[in-house]
Amino acid sequence: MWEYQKKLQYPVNIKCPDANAAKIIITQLGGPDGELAASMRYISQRYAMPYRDVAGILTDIGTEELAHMEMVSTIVYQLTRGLSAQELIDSGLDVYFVDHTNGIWPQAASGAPFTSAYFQSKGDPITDLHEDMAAEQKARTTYDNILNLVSDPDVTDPIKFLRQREINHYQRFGEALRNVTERLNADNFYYINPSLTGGKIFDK
Amino acid sequence: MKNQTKEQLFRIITESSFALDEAIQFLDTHPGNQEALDYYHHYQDIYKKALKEYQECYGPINQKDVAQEDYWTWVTTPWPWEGEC
Repeated sequence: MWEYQKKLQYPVNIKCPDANAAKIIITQLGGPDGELAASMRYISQRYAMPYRDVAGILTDIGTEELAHMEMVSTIVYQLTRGLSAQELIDSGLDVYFVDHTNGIWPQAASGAPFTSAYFQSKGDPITDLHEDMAAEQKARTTYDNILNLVSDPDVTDPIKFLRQREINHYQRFGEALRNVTERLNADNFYYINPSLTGGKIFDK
Repeated sequence: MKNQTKEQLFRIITESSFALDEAIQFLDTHPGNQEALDYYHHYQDIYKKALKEYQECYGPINQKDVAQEDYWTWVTTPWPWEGEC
């Protein structure tokens, strides 16, 4: 169960609309390394995670990613408020406008729609946690790329916050992976997948 | 926490709530860390007091904490994406 709170995790107050910035930042909503894929990845993976504490970190980070999705949506929404038709045409955001007006729709910067093909839920704790650590680094790189393309502090301040969270989450997943491997058969982590044995670990 | 403006109270809620987000995730992987547990309880106290006072004076943040008894203020106060809160 989730309980919505009427606040952003970190404030977003953008004074100057910027169609070009919106065009690239929307990729962190519905793109391959975006917040929607992040949240769906962790929330989907937690069911088959055989360790209760690791299912916990997946739940809590997956929940925070929903709050990041809301922050990215808010950034795109505020960047596209009050744009003129000419500004839309000049920036190339007109191709988004014709389908969605000022609505927020999860897509990559390229226009490719969000798809669950962006993430995996493999049902294997080692596989899934490696995917999660990679995902955090891919999102961190994307935020670094955004910071190289955008300079308005109203925009870069919340983007820097989101970038830092990727680093913290990478650290947490690394700790979770270490905890998992310590509980598996050290001679062969893949000898028996605990997902198939009700979480029981068998020694050879 | 008395005599705080609406903006000051909201900032305390945002900051203490985020401190709890981070502490919760750290404790998920370090459940026996006393320093982190003390940190969590310190900010839990600040968060609860600020949230209670804000919601009584300025409107709901949580759907289940609506204080006003004669109108549904959940839908009349600004949404976060409007850029005012």
